[in-house]
Amino acid sequence: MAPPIRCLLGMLGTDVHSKGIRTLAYMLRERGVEVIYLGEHNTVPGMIAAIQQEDPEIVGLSFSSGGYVSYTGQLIAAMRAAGLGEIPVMLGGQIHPDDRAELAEIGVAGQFGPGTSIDDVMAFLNGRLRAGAA
Amino acid sequence: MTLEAIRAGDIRVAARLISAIERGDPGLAPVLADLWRMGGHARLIGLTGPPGAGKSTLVNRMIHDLRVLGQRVAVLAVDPSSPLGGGALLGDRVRMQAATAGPGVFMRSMSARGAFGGLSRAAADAVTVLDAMGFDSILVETVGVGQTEVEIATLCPCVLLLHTPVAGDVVQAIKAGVTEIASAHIVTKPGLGDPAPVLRALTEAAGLRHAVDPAGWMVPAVIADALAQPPMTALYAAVAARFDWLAANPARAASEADARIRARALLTLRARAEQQLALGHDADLVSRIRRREADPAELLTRLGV
Repeated sequence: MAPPIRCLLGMLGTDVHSKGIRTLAYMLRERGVEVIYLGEHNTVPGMIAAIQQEDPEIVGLSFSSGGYVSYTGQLIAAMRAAGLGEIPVMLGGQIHPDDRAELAEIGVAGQFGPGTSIDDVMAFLNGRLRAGAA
Repeated sequence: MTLEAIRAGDIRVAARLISAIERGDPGLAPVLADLWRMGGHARLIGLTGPPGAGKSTLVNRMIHDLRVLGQRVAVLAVDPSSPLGGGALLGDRVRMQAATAGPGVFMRSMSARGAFGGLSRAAADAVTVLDAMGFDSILVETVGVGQTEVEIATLCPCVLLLHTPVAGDVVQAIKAGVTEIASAHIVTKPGLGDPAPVLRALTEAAGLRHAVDPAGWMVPAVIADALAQPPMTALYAAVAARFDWLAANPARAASEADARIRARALLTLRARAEQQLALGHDADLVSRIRRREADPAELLTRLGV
């Protein structure tokens, strides 16, 4: 049996809308994922330290306010600079369709806007991280 | 290569090695053997107690205080896994956001992955890695425990057992189980109620234990408010006294350390036996035992115990 997926979830900046990320953390946990939950109000350097120490297989960011293109770009650039560039980053929350192309361009591996189901997220995680596993 | 990186304190290499330990990657034994020989210098401090007693909050405070003293600090924090789906919500970093982002700190979250002793099967080897990295103190936080999860005592010579002011009376304090493995009783969250009755009960229990074993360690009971401004003087005095006592009583310290090594071996044996049984390669033998053509001892022989 494949070991559980280790997924680090957190929010950057001053966004206080944490209901979404808590809901996702709970649902992922229920689907057998190990969620390293950082909660809200993280800084880019703080999240880099957490990623270095926790060695997650994927990083998930949640945003319910603007600025996510900038924040996500900063995190991905810092991850690459820290030698963590091979860890995929996924994004969820109030993601505007107009930003999808730019987010993909800066290296976001998965985008989950309003209306996403937990099945969508699990299909993405399994396809990306457990392809070929039973 | 890995050994040098670990000795040099390379966080990324250590983090990946701990992931490999968790996955049970084959071929780690030689690395772990070398790391074990490199370690033994860190102060291992376990923190255990019921859910919500304030373990993560206390760890956060201790990281801060030990950093102020110039120490390098590692933390291993275990949270429970789901008995249904196997998943876990590892939420200890939420309480440690500020303290774990700075230099000189390595904090790792770990799921219990089905283990019931308060730790995970990978915890002991993960601590071996942290120890070899040269940290001054390693804080090991268990899952929230009840009365019987005592595995932390197989890992740490100093175990802080947390209680809240609403914990029970002296009858609870003299019950067998987790109360017996405390190196110090810590009454947390004094703002919740008067901590004095719980402190008295724990002190009385510790006195009874000491009366039975006068040469043994006298377990102190102290109050600690991790969120208040004043320094946690009593807690650090208790920890220091425990390590001083171990240093002053080398024969007792050695026999306690030996007992930890044996207990650790027992846990590993059990885990390996569980893995073997889960593979189901014994189906034929098991059905022969069921038909009385073989006996249960043959299965044990097959498992190598």
